[in-house]
Amino acid sequence: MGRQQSCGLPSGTKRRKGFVFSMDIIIAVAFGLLLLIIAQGFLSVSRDSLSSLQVSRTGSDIAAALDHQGVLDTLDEDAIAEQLEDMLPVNYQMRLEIKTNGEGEELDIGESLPANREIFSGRRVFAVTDGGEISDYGMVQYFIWVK
Amino acid sequence: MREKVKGMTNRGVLFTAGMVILGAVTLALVLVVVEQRQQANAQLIPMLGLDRQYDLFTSIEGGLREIILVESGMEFNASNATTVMIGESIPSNADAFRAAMAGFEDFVEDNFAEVQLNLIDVNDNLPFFISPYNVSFTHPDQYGQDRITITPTALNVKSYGIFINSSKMEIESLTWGGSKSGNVPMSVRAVDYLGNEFVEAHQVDLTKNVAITIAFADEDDDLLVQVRPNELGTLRVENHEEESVFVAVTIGFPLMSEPVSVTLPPDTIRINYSSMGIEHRGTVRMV
Repeated sequence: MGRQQSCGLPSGTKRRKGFVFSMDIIIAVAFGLLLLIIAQGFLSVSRDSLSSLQVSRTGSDIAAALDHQGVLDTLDEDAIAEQLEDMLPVNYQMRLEIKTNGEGEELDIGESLPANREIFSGRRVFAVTDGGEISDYGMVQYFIWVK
Repeated sequence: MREKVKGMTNRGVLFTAGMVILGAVTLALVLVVVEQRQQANAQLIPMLGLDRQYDLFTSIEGGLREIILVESGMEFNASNATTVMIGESIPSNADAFRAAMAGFEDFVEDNFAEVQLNLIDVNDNLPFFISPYNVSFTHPDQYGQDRITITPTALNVKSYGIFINSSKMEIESLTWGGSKSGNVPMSVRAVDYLGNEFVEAHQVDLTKNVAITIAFADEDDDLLVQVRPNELGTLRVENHEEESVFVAVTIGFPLMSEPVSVTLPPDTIRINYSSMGIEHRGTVRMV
């Protein structure tokens, strides 16, 4: 009672004012949250092209590395798969489809293509060297996506 | 008391206004980010197209380089920015090289409609260009025949070093004819499978005649290294024997801003993604 007097307002008026103040805070916070949610919505629907490019270039770099290391030349499915696993970052998945000219060999290495992922693809050609001579030519098509 | 209520109301107004401003600023920032992302996305497709084209180009370049190194047995080395070495056996059997080139060309063009390889000169004369000095290295008759020619377009060669390794014929002598005075160092070192070694080096004048003869024991023909007058220092190496000899020519150049490189002729590889308006013409860099 003493505190009410020090405030100088009847207790009903003070409660009403407190209620209005509380409502004011709630409405303001709700409005702020609404704007943040709208902002988040905008961000989530817009694609980050840099990350897309990063995924694509990771695939390109891995295919190039397999080529330059001579692993593709082996045409050995297990060796290529092992090397691919070593090089592929954990949050990515990749598939290689290799086709050769002379032998007509076709190798499918890695995961199956997912249905609901953004997949990036590219192709390379390579010469197969065996015993100090060019024995065949091959083409590798890679597919890469984020897990 | 009223002032206190008024203060409370003001705080409420300020809080509401603050939240509205904060939200509006956040929203505005997000719209800016979204706008930028949309612009970046518009550039993404061409960038991915360029990446795919680059992948394909570099792999074709790598394939052609591998065929040259494996099937021709040629050696290239640029140990520093101003010196390049090109070595090969002359004469040589070029059938396997031409077959490999033709096979690769067919394979690439059959699988990639957008790619065109221009290998006519490469199969015939296997010429190389030494940049940025505008010097050509070629096989004037045909690749596989008995001679190579190095042709500058100006007197810009600083030194010539010729190494000859005969793995089947005994070298009998090395005779230096012509210019022995000038300002361009030129050296010849010839070794054979028996361990014989002949070395001679002089400063020469590349506007005058230089004629160096390597004679083989019990053979009728010689290996010649020549510079002829008024040819801007063009170097000719000819092995008139049927048995092949490995010849490596090291060429020194004055220092330029761009390091020395050896490439096949321009426009050897052409990739045309007409749907994306991308066309890339390029060549194969050996070193």
